Amino acid sequence: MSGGAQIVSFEKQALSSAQETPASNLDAGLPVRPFASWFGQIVGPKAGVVWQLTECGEQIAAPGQIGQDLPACAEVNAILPDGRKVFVAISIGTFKKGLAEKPAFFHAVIEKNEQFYQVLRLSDLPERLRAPDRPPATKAKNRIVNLPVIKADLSRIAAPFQYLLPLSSIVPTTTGDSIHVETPPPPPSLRQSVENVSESVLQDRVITMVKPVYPPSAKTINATGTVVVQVTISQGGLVVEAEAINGHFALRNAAVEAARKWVFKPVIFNGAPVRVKSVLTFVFAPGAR
Amino acid sequence: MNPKIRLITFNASVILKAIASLSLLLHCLSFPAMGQTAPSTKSGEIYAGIELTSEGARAIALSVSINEEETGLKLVYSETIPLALGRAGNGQFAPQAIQNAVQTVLKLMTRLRQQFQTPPERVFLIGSSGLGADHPEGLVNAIRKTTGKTLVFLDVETEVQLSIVGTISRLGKVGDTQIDNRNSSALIEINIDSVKGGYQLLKYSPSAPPSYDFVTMSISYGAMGLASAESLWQALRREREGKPGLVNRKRVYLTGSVPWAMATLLYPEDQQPFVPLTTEVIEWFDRKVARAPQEVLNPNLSFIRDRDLRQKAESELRAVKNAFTPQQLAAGVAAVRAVASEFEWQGKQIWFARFGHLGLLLSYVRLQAEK
Repeated sequence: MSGGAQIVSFEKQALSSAQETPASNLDAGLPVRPFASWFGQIVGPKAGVVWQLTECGEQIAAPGQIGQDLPACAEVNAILPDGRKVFVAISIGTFKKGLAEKPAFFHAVIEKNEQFYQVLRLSDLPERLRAPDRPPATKAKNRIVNLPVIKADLSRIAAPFQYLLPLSSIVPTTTGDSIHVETPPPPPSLRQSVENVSESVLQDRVITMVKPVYPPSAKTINATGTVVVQVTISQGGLVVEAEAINGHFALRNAAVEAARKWVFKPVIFNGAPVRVKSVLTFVFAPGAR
Repeated sequence: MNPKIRLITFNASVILKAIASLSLLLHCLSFPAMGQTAPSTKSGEIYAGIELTSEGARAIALSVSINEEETGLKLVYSETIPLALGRAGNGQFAPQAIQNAVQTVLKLMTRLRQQFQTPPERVFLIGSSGLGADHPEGLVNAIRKTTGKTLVFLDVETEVQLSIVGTISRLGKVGDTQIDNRNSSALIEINIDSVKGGYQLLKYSPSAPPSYDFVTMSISYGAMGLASAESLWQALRREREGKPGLVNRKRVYLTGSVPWAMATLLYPEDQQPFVPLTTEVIEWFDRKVARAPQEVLNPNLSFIRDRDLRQKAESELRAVKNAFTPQQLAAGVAAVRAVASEFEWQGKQIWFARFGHLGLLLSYVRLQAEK
């Protein structure tokens, strides 16, 4: 997995390089301020902005290396409140050779109503966004293959792979009112709030349970009893915070250390994994030593 | 290729790429489809599709309303029927298998006509790329003779592209803000014998107008076993070399029979269209399936209090058990873990897309309806 680690590192470097590059380096007509900051101001605070590393251009031969290389761009795309989409690509090097000396403006495009408007200079972008009805710089029209939101009548939708069930069990038999869900809906966003759940709910979702090690120091003072650890669990099911809130002080560290190693199935609310807060209770019985 | 049977394989790298891409696709899709010409669309008309694969036949019916502004679609029906379309040594299907396939198509067309008043000309029949390999003339001829329809075969690239469009919505939400979802997501389909997937991206070229393009991948490894695990890893590594989006996209939509089985066994109570997964859960599930597959395949559902929900979960579990032996499940989940590791899903948003198996047909039928 070392190659993977390098790519992740390259991605982070590439994105931050493009974001921090002075906009004036990409176009002399722009101010001397980080490109990300300038772009954020241009598209406004209500735009949904996504940064990602992407390929930009055809494969090229990689001297001294096996196989082909691909030009790499840091791409930022933003959806404006009026539905227009803005793409800006900053060339930052290639996937095999790594970062180039200086990021360079590669391309900018505005998409509106399935038409692409090319922006040839980055400094033209603010004006082009202020004049949304201006004719396209290119006559390119690209019909995008976009499915609208589809409403599914769940009572009539078979499970994905019920190939081996008898036909009668999957033929819809009801025609009455049915639940309508929109599919495919927007993906459930990861909720940032923390939900409180009971310990029993948490226990049902345990993947990895680690017992505390009875500390030798506790043995010398014959410490036993219950330690309650308050834990915060990430959307991915990992314990990210743990704090003992009661119990013998000689046992608390051991309980917290154990709690940090527990892993849970993510807790789902409204179809999305959420961060949760709960408690784990550890019992240090005399026999457990 | 025998001109009599007019087997058409689409090259999707040409389709969907530029200005003329969609019209080209529509042209190609309609070209071989004798009797599949779509009439002009009125409000709320039903269009249907039947997809024939080597494992079964899948049908959908869409209520389509088209006006100048937008197309409204409502999926009103779907059904899958098992088939065992085994091939003889010469690559052709056995007569009995052909007969079963023809009867199944006929049955679905009859249902579409009787229950949804869908005339044959609005039913579009496609065959999977796997089925189209070796040009199964006998099957094509038999279907045409009995139903009047020509079986149109897709290639893998087109299948993936249509699945991406039919599964991943254009827009997503982070908090209250809309984001470009499809251009920042990847789709991966994992079945017992293959891994497919890809992503959409905006293509930049100094010599051509900008356009949306698709990058696709497909690894077919037949009946998977531990012996082929290493070659799967190697194949995944090769794919990621030339397709960086497989690694860099931060949202991943999973489809295919293995993610379905995983989601069903992990969260039998969750019937949501999108079921979130994490790499930790995938790794844990992989270990558990390897250690105690029978236990995994027989979860206790008594915790589901709602009777209807429990019955539905039981039905899905039965389907999983019918579709997978413990060994197949273990191998399939190991493949998911391999993909998760090689494509670096740690920290990404991962969803099993419950209706992903319909994405291809949805896109295809919609494109036909809009002609």
